[in-house]
Amino acid sequence: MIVMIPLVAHVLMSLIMLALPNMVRREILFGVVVGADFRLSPEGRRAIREFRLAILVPAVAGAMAIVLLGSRFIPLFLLAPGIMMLAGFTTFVLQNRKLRAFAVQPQPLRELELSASSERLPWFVWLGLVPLLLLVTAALYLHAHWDSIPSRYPVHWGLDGNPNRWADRSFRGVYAPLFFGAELIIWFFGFALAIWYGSRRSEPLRRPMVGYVVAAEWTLALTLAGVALGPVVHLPFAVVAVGGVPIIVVSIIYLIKKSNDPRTPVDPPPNECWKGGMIYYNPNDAALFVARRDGIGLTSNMGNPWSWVMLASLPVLIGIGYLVLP
Amino acid sequence: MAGPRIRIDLNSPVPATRQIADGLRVELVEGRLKPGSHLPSVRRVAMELGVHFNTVAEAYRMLAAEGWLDLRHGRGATVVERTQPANASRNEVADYRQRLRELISQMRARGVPPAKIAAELRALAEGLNS
Repeated sequence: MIVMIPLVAHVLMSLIMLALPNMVRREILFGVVVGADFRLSPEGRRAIREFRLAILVPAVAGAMAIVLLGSRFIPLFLLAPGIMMLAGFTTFVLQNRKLRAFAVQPQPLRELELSASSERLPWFVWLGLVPLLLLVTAALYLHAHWDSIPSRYPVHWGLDGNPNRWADRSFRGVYAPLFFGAELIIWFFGFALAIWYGSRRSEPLRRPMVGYVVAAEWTLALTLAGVALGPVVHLPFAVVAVGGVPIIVVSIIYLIKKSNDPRTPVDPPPNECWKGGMIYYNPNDAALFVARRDGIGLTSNMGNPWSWVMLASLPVLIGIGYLVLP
Repeated sequence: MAGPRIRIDLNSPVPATRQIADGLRVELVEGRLKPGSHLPSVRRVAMELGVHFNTVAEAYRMLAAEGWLDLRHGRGATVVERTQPANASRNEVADYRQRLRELISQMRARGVPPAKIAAELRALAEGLNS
């Protein structure tokens, strides 16, 4: 039973990687803008076949290794999906290089209506602040039931589902998960605003992407509130681990649907600015976010220094959180 | 009716600054951008057109120097009533004539018949007078 959750996670990740070529618009294959029918050509079919084979081999081998050896060698739970992902991304870059010979230069015309009208934030952005209230409510509940908190209780579980970190009934021990959640939610809220104001108004993925970030905030808040309340409310591990997941799954499905919608022009950012079909680097583009070519949603323009600031601030916040956590 | 628009071609050999300034000048000369109108911020124009902030700021400065725009910090760009400049010098007229000749040659090389070019020029000139 110990291998069940890692096995399911590995299989799910493998299936997502196998489906990667189908998660983008038909005009884009392995990060290269090609004709809409290119996928049906012998070169297109071969590229997809080679990519899937490169994933399938480590995916099946990894699943077998988890089942047969996972209980004796726990790091396999991370190694197997890690190797599969590495194989997938390496093959993606190789296919990107091969397909550049068939690239179609994106539409170079850009148009702007000269209106100085301001634009309102969509209403659902404000839902991104509700998870903070959820954490504050959890903190108030813990404060009110302080005497019911055991003197020592688990706060972190390993890949095998067994607790591997404990906290004692102290201010830090009880409130740290909520503080960690609050700092991440504030970061995500800022990230949602950056997506809204840092992408083109004509970008159709702007709204679904902001919705996805708000959903991620809710999932995070529910998980960390579950961890913090665990000692008092005695929630089952499975509820804490996956309770908030349906919210983010719904937002991802919507994002995939929107990412596949046909668009005109096909993909304005020039081909030369895409490194390996995955990284957008264009110091001459003021946009902070553009539509991905390697999957769903938006990606940062790494030619903009603010992208680096934004991305570097997340590990710093997580690091601070780990210092605070018991 | 759609509002004033500008369009740029990222593959064009003409620099983006010049394309933006030229596009705006057309809207100003033809009266679709009237005195008192506010232009979008440099940040927004740069973002939507996929160019650097400095590219747009430079185009706005060029038009401000020509007397079309008032640029005040924090207030963006506003179209102003422009005093008619003194008649262009002989050299400037010669320069415009040369540019027109180059453009017309380019059109003819692309197969546009002379009568069609003349009609286009007449329509544009009449549009300016109306």
